Amino acid sequence: MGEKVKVAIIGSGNIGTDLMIKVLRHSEVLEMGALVGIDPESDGLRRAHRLGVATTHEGIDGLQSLPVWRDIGIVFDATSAGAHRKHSAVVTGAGKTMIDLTPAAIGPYVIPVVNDGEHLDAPNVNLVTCGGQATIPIVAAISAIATVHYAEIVASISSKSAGPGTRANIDEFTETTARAIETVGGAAEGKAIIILNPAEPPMLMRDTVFILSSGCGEAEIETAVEEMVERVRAYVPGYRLKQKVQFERFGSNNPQQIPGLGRFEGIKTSVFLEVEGAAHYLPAFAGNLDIMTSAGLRTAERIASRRIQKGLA
Amino acid sequence: MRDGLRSHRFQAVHTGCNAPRRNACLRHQYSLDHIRAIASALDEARVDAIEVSHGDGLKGSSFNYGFGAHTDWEWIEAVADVVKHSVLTTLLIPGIGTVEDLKQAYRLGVRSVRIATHCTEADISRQHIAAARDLGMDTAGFLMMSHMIEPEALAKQALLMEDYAPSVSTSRIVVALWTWTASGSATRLMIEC
Repeated sequence: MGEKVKVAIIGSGNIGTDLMIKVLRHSEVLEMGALVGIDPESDGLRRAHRLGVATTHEGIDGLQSLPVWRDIGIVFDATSAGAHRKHSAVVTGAGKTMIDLTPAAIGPYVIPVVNDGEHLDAPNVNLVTCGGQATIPIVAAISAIATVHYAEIVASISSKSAGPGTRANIDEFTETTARAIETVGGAAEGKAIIILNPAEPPMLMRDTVFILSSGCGEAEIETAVEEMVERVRAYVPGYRLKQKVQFERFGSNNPQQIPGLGRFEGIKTSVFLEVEGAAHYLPAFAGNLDIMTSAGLRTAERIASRRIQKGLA
Repeated sequence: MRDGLRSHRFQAVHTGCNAPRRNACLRHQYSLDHIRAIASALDEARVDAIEVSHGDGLKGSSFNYGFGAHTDWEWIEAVADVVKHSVLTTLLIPGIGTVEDLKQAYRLGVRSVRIATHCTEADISRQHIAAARDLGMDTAGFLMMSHMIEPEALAKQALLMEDYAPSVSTSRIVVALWTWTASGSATRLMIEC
C-alpha cells in the first residue's frame, strides 16, 4: 500500500522539532506536512526548511493558508494549554484529528500501551504528562491482575529539561498525572510528585512507582511489570527498569495506614524506572520529553492506520 | 508499625530580622491530642506563628516521604481549634502540594505560608506565591539547600520570588536564606527527639 497520512505539528520548540524528526526518520504511516511556529528565526523552523518540510511562522492562521492544509489528517499541538483551545477548534472543525501534547486535556487521556485502542475515533486526544506516560503503564499492568488501592508516582527530571511551560504551571503536572493514574491506570486513588533535579551533568529521567494492591501475588506482579516495560520499550527504546521490582507485605498485624484513605492489607510494589531519550533533537537526559514525543508518534500511527482503513486518509 | 520509629522533629526558628518572628514547625506522627497540647502551649507563650504541615509540606504524606498519622487538614483543624494568638502557618513545596491545597488550608484558618523550592528552582513557585498573595496570606519564599549555590545566584532566585508577589518582602526571603545558610548558628534552633 505505502499510503501515508500527512501530519502538521504546531509548535517549533524542543518537543515539536523532536517529533518532526521522529516522523521523518521512523514513521511508515505518517508523512510530515508542515511545521508551524511563531518565530521565523526558531531553530525548529530553520531545520524543517532545510529538511524540505513546509513551514509557517504565522501560527494556526498560517497553517490554514498553506496548500498542504487540506491534505493534513492529523495535527499535533506542542504549544501551551492556553493556545490549545483555539488550535483544537480549528483542527477538529476541519475534520482532522488533534493530538494534544499540552496539559489542556480537552479530549480523553491516551497512554499508548494501555488504552490507545479506545480512542481511535476521538477528534481530540490528550497525552497526559511525561510522568504519566512513564508510570501509568506500570499502574495499569498491576490493575489488570490486582485491586490497586493506591498508586503514587515520583517523576524526577533534570532542571534543564523542564521548559518554561512546565515551570509556570507545575500544578498541572501533579493534578493531571494523578487523575490519569486513576482513570487510565485503574487505581482507586492516585498521587503524583515531580522533582526538578539541577545536578550537573544532567540526570536521566527517573520515575518511581509505588503501588499498594491486594488480590495478586508478588511473582505475578513482577512478571506483569516486566512484560509491560518491554511493551513500552517497543516505542520508547530508552525505557527500562533501573532495579528489580521490590515488594513489602502488609498483613493484618501490620496494615499500611494511608491518612484519609484507611488501613490496607496487601502488597506494596516499588518500581524504579529510568528513561533515556533517543537524542533525536533533544539530549539523551531529556527522557521526559522523548517519552512524550514517542507516545505522540505511536498514538498518531494508530490513528493514521485507522484513517487509512476507513478511507479517510 | 513504623509510626513509633519515625523521628519526630520540633523545630523553632527564631529569625533575627527587624520584625522578630518565632516559627514552630511540627512534623508528622504526633497524635491530634499531642499537637493540640503543643500548639496550645506555644499560643499561651505568645509565639508569633505556628507552622503545621507534613515535614515535606501540604500533601507531603506519601510512600516517598512517609505517611503521617493524619491528613494535613486534620492537623490544621486541630491546631486552629486551640490557637487564639499565634498566626497559623503552613509549608507548601510546589511539585508536591498545589494551589488547591493552599486554598483548602486557608479555608481551615491558615493565614501565613512558606513556599519552598530547591534553591535553583524558584520559578516553579510563581503560581503558588501569587495565589497566596491573592488570598491575602502572609507569604514567605523559602529557598532550600541554599549552601549548594553562590550568594549572587541565590539572591537572583530570591528576587524571582519577590517578583511573583510584591508583598513578599525581601527581608522575609533573605531571612529564610540566611537561616539556612547559617544553619547551626544561633539563628536556628532545632531539636530532634
